Amino acid sequence: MAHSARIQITESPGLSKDGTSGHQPSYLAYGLALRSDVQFLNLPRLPETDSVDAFVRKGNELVSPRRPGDEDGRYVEGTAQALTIGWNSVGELHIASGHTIDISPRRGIGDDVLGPLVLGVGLGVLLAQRGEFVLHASSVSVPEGTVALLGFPGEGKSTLAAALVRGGFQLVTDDVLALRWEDGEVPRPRRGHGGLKLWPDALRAALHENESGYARVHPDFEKRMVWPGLVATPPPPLAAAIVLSPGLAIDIERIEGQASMIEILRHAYLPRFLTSVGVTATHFGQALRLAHSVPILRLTRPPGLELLPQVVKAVEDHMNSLVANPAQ
Amino acid sequence: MIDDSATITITKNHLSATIGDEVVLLGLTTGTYYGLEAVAMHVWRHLQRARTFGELLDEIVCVFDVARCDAVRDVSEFIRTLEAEGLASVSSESAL
Repeated sequence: MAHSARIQITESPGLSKDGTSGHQPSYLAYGLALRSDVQFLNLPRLPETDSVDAFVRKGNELVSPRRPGDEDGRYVEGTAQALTIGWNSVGELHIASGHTIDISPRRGIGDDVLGPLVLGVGLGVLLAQRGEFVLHASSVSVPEGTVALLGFPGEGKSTLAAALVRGGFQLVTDDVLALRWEDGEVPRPRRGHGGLKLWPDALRAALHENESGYARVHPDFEKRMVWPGLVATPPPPLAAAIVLSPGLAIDIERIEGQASMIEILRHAYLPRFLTSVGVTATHFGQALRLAHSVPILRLTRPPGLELLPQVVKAVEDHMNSLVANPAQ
Repeated sequence: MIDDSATITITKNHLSATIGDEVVLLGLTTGTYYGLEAVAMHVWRHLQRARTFGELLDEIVCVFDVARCDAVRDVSEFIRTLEAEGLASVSSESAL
């Protein structure tokens, strides 16, 4: 269900009608005004406003026993419009109706850990609940438009995005790409929150920086949240979607026919959490529209962060050549 | 194996999309999607009207360079997959 109208809130003195714990600040992320109990030090603060798109609320401490989860200790339950995602060492996010993210944290878990979760999976699911087409992708703005980098976890989406930012391009989103068709056949991405989640070796290779001084995104992982500062505002329309895959050589080729749409569906955000539901008719229609809108490409490259400069050059060269030869 | 006289009918429980010359299917019950190319796409398009399995095989061996015994195995497997996903029904008696 789409939610285009903003929700008008009238607060009573001392009691917030939205359920947040008082006069909480509002932040801007993905074009949404978020009134939040979680503090986001790196997000733009909105002026005192009663126009809010969604609420982030911290609730009671989670005391229930640990549950079976995947290899990351994560578990998922619920429906597309009322989804609970839990991490045994962190707590749970309850994301509902494209409107609320309710958090039940484990004891001792603070905003430094909750913030990246809300900005990542929390807003990814919330945007999908609002009817946006959300892909598991990072993206950067190049002269030809926005390039989406699609891939499964560990394929190097954020690392390549960081290397492209280091190369002078602007970040659009990390890990969550929400697309909207506003005025034409080519979708436009929502500007993300401006952060990038990187492993220390990727941080060193892509941005030439040391991990010290960057906060961990999760107590159990070494991954760090980085704010490169170069964020495209507003992001240009999508120019291409590149699927990252392992390979023997650095190469970019166009994915033709049904395989192009299959790749888009494989990287749709919500179905990856709701495997019992799978792809819906809405996702199917959105993926078809995207496959008809922009070139869907596959980038293969051997493993090894030392190849990042060559991979960046391959992306640059290919995007350049797309302008000269759109069929490529 | 499917009997030559069995009738294959596509159900309405799906969406299909054409990309270039190929087809993507979505089963609305399971949310599972499939990309169809070459023989599978030809079978799917041929099944837009109910056919017996024998008619379907005649069409495939006529259009593609494939032995009938191989076609029986491969097409049967494909039809059973469609059936399992609720995308096609296989009736044991010819309804044509």
